[in-house]
Amino acid sequence: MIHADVADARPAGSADARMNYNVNGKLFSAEPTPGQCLRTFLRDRGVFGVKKGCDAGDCGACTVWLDGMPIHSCLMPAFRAAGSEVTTIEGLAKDGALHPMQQAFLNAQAFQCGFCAAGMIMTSAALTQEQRADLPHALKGNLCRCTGYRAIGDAFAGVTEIEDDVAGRACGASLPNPFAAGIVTGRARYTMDVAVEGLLHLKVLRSPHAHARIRAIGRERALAVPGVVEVFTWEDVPRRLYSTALHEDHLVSPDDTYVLDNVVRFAGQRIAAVVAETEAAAEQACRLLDVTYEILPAVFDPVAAMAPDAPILHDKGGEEKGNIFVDIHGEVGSVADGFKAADAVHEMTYSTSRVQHVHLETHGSIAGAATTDGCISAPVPRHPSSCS
Amino acid sequence: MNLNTVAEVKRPTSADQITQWRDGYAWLAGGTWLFSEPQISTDTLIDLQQLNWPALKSSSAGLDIAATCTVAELYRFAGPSDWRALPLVQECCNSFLASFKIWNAATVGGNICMSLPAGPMISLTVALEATYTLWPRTAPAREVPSIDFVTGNHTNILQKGELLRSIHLPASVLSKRPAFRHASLTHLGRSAALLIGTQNAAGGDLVITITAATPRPVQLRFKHAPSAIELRRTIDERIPADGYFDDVHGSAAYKRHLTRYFAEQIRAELAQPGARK
Repeated sequence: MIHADVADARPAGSADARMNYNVNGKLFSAEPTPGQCLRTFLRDRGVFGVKKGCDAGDCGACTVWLDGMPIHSCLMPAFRAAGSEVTTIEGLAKDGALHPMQQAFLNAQAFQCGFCAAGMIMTSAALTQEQRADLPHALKGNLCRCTGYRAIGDAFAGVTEIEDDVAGRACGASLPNPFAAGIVTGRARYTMDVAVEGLLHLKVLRSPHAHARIRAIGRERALAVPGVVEVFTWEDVPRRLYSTALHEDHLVSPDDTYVLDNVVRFAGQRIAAVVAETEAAAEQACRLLDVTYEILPAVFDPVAAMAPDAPILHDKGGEEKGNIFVDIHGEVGSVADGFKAADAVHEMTYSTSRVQHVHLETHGSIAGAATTDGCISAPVPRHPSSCS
Repeated sequence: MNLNTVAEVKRPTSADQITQWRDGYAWLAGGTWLFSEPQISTDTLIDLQQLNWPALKSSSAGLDIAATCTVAELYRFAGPSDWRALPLVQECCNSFLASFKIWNAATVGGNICMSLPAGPMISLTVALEATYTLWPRTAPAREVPSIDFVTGNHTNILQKGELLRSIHLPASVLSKRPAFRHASLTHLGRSAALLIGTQNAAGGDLVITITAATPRPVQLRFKHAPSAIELRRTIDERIPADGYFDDVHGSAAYKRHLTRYFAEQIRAELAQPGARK
């Protein structure tokens, strides 16, 4: 509940805690939950142009205007938006005509997947001339992870990159992204941009330990949380191994993972899943699971992991030796002959860390109830260039 | 993000209405940090917005900044032309890692109370020799020099439930000549070192405030401007080699290098007569 000693945001004479909102010119009364941010408040009401990216104020995908002032709606308490004019990407076009910045993004194709575009446009359309003169500074609160920023700079410069789709001449022409109009207006629908009746939420408890055996999981306190529907642990899932790498070649991507396991092999591994009517209940129940671990020796270095006395992580059969699943060597042609024929040979060992692209659209999936043929439908985020 | 453990928001019109402080309470200023990560030990937010503290009040005595003044409001402040140190306000705002959209919500007081080494509102107000007014829950208001407020990375002198009410920048310091130096490992990134020098209009003295490079601000005060060697010796006496803040935004050795380098630049700049560059 939200106590307001000054009731300026409340309907006059109202005894309830509803507040007055104005979103894109639409007026309504609503009661946000106490710790709710403006982003989820808007999306709960079908304003799906406001995106969830980092949810921590860094990516800018959730940018909206509060009385004309751009803010990150993931950091704004929802109750503070009461009594103000909230403008989202859906409210930027006036009388059917795109805002000039929407048109500029369209002309320059200043997006690829388009997930950042709503926030990027809401920020760009609010910039002063002085800010436009220093775009890296003005746009540091907006991240794009596929187009890069050159095309966004083109939009500011008024560059048109697209050509008309003329029958018979389309081949070789610079045609726009077919979803462009939806992207710049916030109408494009991504995986999570759907309201599902009776939606349940699943949250996962993760291990704090790098290597441990689970002795017991007490679920009574978790199940007692109002709204909790079910708790799943390793005892509830099929004991069937699969590969998380999703490669077609199981020689290099072994089946080594259970959906839920009683052995932990890295800090952060999922231990249990809680299904509840709200995210809050699922999170609370995760905190109330009583897990007893037997902590095992861990190894953190790939070279140390290959030593004969290293703690063994997997013992599932099929391992070549210890922690080594398979030793693979390959070459195209003859490297030895190539070295022999070379005028100069430079030898050095190079290593690099794994790089994550850090796409803005969150990982997530929505699973439907089993149909008569036993299938479960589960849409997942798609490739960035196909968004609708 | 949603703060799912929060069950109640109190919106007092006077801070006195919050009499019983308990664990689980959190003052809510701009919310830009509170809402940026789960706050599982917080169940009640106490909104400061409806206290309606005037953001900025300037007088011949100086500038009073409410803790709830947003960074954007401070950035836009235009003061008398003889407050020669005022450009430091915009320079410090521009040293935020956060974008201008965050400035629209984040508060000056919030940045100070976060007490991170790279908090530029700490750099600004310590360099301008501010006095902070604190409101304990059950005792009379107290005033503390800004240099004594932050005690380490993410720690300060605030007692449970104690509120930072306002920041007073004295006109005598606002009238001093400033020099500003700042660097970060990445372009427009978080500060690795932020140094500010000030000097009386009459010249001769020097105050250098070192922030971001150290866990808490360090202030060097010289009645007479030192030589390069004296300055270097003083820095090394005040900050041992392991006294620099070592994190992903810069190693201790890098921050020591920047501190020595920028301090000498500031000394040299303020040794030149006349306007700053």
